[in-house]
Amino acid sequence: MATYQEFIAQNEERDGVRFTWNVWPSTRLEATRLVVPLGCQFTPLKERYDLPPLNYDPVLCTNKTCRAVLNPFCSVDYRAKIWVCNFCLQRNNFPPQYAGITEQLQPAEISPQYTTIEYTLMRMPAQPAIFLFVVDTCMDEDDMTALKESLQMALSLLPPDALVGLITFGRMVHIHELNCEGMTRSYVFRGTKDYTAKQVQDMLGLMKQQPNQRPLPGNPNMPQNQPTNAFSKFMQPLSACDMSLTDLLGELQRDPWPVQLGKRALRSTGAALSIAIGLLETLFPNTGARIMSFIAGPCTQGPGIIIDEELKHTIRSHHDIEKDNAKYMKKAIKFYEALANRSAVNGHVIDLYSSALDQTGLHEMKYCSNYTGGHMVMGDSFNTSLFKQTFQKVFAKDNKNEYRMNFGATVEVKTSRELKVSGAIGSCVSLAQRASNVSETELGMGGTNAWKISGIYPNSTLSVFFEVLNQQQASAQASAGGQRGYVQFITQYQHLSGFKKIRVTTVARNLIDAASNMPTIAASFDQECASVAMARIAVYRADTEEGSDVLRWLDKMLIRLCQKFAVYEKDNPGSFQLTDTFTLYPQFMYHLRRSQFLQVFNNSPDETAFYRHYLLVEDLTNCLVMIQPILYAYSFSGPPEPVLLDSSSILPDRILLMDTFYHILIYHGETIAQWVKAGYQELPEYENFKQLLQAPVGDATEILQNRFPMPRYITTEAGGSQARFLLYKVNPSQTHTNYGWGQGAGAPILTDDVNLQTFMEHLKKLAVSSTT
Amino acid sequence: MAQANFINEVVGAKDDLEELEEIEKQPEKQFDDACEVVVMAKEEGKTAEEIKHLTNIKADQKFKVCLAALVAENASDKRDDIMKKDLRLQNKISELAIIGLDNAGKTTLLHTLKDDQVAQHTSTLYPTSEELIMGNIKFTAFDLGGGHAQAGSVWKDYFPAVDSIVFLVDATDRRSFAKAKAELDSLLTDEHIAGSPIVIIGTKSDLPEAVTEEKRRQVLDIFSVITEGTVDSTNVNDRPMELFMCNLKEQASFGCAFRWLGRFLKDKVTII
Repeated sequence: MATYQEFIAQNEERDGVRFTWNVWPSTRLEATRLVVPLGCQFTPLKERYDLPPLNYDPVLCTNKTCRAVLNPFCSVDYRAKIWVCNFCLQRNNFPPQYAGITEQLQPAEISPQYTTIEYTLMRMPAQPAIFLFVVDTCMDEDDMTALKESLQMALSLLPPDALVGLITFGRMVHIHELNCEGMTRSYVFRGTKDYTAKQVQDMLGLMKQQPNQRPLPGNPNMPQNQPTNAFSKFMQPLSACDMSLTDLLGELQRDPWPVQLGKRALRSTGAALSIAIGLLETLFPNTGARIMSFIAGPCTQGPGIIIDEELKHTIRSHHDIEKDNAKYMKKAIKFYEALANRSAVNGHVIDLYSSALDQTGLHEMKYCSNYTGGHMVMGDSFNTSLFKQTFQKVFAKDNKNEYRMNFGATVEVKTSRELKVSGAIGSCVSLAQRASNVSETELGMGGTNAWKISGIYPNSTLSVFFEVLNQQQASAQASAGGQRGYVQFITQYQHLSGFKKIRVTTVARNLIDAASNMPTIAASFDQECASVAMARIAVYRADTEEGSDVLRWLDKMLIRLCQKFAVYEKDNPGSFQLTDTFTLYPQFMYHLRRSQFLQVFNNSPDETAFYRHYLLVEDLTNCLVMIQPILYAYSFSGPPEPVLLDSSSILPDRILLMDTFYHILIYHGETIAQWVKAGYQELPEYENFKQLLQAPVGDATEILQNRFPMPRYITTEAGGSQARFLLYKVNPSQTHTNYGWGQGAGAPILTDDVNLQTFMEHLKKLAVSSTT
Repeated sequence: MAQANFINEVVGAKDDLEELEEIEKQPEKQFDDACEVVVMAKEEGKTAEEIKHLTNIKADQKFKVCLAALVAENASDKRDDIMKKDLRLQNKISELAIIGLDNAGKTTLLHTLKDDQVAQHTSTLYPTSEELIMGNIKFTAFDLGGGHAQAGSVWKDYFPAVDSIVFLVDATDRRSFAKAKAELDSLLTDEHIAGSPIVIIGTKSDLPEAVTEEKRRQVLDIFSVITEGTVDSTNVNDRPMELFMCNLKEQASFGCAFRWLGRFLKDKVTII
């Protein structure tokens, strides 16, 4: 019998699914009493290289209200060629092409190891990918030059048949024609006006028509039939306009309008995005497309204005928002949220690449990337390696040499009758599909069993939450140990190769009578998954519910969980003990409370939006790193090892490597730093010191390679100003107030913050108290 | 905005009080009338029963007077509360930029002043703002961050929005003195903040490696430019500027600095 940990790891590896509870209670009441809701972290397109290529359509259950996909949990009658749907118990005949199946000759989709399988629909016409660049021109010369180079590089990384377009904006918005040889021509729009899709369509002379379809691979003469439609002057196949677009980008000038002293540049970000979305929704509805917007400052006029041009007025801070003192914010949020919804419905992605030393309005614009699965990148300047490398990674390919980006995914969730779907949290929008398995109680984006993720990557992860229904004859079955619940995720998406693919993941878990089997349920708790689920709920609430006290809610939930699952005598904090599957959970909650996700002091609203974006997108492992950063220690006393995220881990003879997802930091302890200053690493007899210095650099490089966006990379030493990145993350078990009487090891932190030890003491006291 | 809100609130409270006084007068007048009636009744030799009835009315009126007085008192308490809580009788409001090189202690100062708690912070990457109340001054403080190499260019964008500057220098970081001096010099020549008072605070003065005040003055060369009293704002060199050595262990030291700054801020709100 494998341990739960092995079971969880195996399931994650195979299906990209982890549940908060791996044995489910059989009644609704017991399920709600678990405190941490029943749910899962689901990574729809988890990288799998061992999946067999299936170039046919999936077989669906014939029950009209079910339509689940044939899967390994279905019972199959090989002689009668019948399969029984495990969701609705409908008996289905196999289609004629399955006539030859036997126990020995199973199709892949019903063999037990393929609970996750992928179909490629060959009959669907392949669609070329579409990229529309929306470029701010109000920036200084260095930034402009660097950005132009990055854009030209991007052209070389795109598939040659991709359709590309270019919109630039400053005071005005320019849509560039790409089919004119030897001269540049653009349509100019005023940045102060909000154009509807219809107006954009009329002004550009676009007709509603089908985009050109790309011939299937196998036909080598792709670029033969050049599109000659009206729209083609704005969106051209890269193979046809590569040269002219490269030239056009090279000749791009900064916005020519002068900026007066004491004023900001007039920037029409809102109008530009609105026009870009209008253009795409007219020309390419329901087709994968990507708007890549490059922003060097806040929108200062027209629709979506973030702050006006007067420098006398400063861009809103968290403090202003709290005091309801942010003049343009609510209107801007409404504007960008509406744009995001329009875009998401059509499967169009919006990326926000923001590079400036001050805020650019990501707080208001975040919906554009949050709803569409777009990237949100926040940097200081386009002329930094941080931006350049991050942008290059957007076009990265996996080891099968395929792009990591995919378009227009819908994730539909089927459940067996024991469960209903209460909602999802992630970088998606609801498809408002009110199926019979949709719960009345909502958690996250509810009222649906399907969501759209317009831009989806191998890491993209959705939190899906469930409600358990009361079962009539459950108890008899449950006690016999026979009852199982099933969940099926059907993910349809457009691969960048143009083909439509369907990934189907089906999982099963046991249901059990919680009243008599609580220890079994407790043992099935996945504290890592639960931490991420709670973090996402907390951030979702902080974003959507105005003035909700998320910290208090987290505390309350933690205390209730401990009251229910810890072992203790009433009113005796000393007797408090957590069972194995819960030991790490309070620590995760402690770090979550302190994290930049929930603490906004010293953060601008834009930064908060940026940090939260990735918590809602990334997979479970990365989300855990964000909540509680990982710390590794390198020293002469042994091989590199993970150490506690605690001030006591900061020792003079250690090098530390900290990964917070957003930052990678290498920290030299005091002694190490002195050795480095003395130059020991240059001396041949201290070769081992040189190796010690290089070890964390090598590990950091490895992390950097697989990370999107590129983290800030920081090298520092004891007493260095950048050491603060480390000092504010570690648990301050030694502070300036308690340090000094003999505990020696570690670095005292100058803080009055509560440390983990005190936090735990209070938790114990509250959990065992008979009055709370 | 905040200032306007405050004025509205105070003016509102004042209106309430006037209204209450009017209301108060009514039962008082009735009470006086009742007294008169009783006296007149006695003089006119009315029956004991009638006099008793009138006395009852009189007592009733007296009660009403007390009640009205209570309500009025309550309202004035509330007004005082508003003034205490929201601005502790402040009469000055300032927009203040806290600037300084990386790790000078800007964020720590802001947090300490705001929450009265010391905490470990990381680099401030983008400007943030908080509201502070120091003595009789309410500040909107912009923490402009020093983490970037080009932080100075962000500061400039905020100068049109501020009327005073707090410039922090890490007293322990000798290597940064020259850079701090250069930044300070560029501050002094910026026309948006011409004439604005500047407080220079040497932070971390409690640490043994901190330099003395004398040394600091020398390095930053500010003996010559310190002025007090009225300022001619057309000459950028003629502005109030003073140096304070401070540390978190003696938080009062920051108070001195801000009180000094307060002297040069124009009165913006007059208390009624």
